[in-house]
Amino acid sequence: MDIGLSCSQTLRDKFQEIAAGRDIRIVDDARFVLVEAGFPQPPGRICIVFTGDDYLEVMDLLMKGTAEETIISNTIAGFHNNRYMVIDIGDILYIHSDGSEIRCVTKTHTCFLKKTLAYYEKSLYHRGVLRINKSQLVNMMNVREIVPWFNSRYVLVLENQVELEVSRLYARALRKALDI
Amino acid sequence: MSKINFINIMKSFFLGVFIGICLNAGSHNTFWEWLYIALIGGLIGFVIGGITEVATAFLPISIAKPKIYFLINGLIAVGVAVVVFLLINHFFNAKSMTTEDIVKFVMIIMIINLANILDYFMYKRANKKLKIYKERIEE
Repeated sequence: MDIGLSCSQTLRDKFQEIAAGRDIRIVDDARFVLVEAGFPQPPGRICIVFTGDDYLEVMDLLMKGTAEETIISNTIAGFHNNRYMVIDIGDILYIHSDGSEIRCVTKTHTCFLKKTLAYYEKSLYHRGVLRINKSQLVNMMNVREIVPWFNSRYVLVLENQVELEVSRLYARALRKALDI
Repeated sequence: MSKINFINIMKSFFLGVFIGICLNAGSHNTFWEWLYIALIGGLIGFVIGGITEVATAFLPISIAKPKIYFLINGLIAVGVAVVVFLLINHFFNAKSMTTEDIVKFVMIIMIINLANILDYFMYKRANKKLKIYKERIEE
């Protein structure tokens, strides 16, 4: 995603800091320009004007926008038997972090993923893939039943009968996502 | 120990206080007697809640099934009822138990069972919400 900036140097530095960690490029000829009130609006572009007070909201919007951009595809890339393979998000049962390895268990295979669990947590959230404990993400679309368990925990029964524990910490987030 | 939820133990304390208040209903106790009974109820709830939290933290999730969860909950309810009955029998001679005492005893069991029934409806609701969530994501 390309964006332009017309703002003070302080805010420019902050935006560049955010852009560095994401798929955002700050360029001069971008179609969308973030304009701080009082700074010139480049002609022929779509300008989003903000004041110095609400720049945090603009940053938040920018981050959400780019997070959503990463889930446009219905697939992710995995590694199985020394070959890259395309995994349909709908086929994912759960993603498991085991030290340095990220394993993705699908309906038919178990393969390895290249990026971090936090990356998949953020990018697949809107596709129904939620964090359930410190080392696992689960695709809620393939959850057959939610079983309440003691100590404010849940157990999720998947379509293939595998049972995964939702820890107390993430049970709250699960309740929020499901609006329970 | 990390699995133990202290909030649940506090909830048990307040459930015990509530039961204590229910036991006070209709009696001609003074304020301090009323408070004493409510706090004793809370203390019993706190102890039972604590024991339950610690004991259930050791249960493996491999046995997690709705039937088993509600069976264990039911057994805890029966266990609590038996403990309360034995305490009543010990402190107040059973022969001198009046109909009012029996009504109070039944009331305690009903409150515990009500909490279990509520839990069952929460389980049903969670699975209904899961279905709605899936439909929303599919859209």
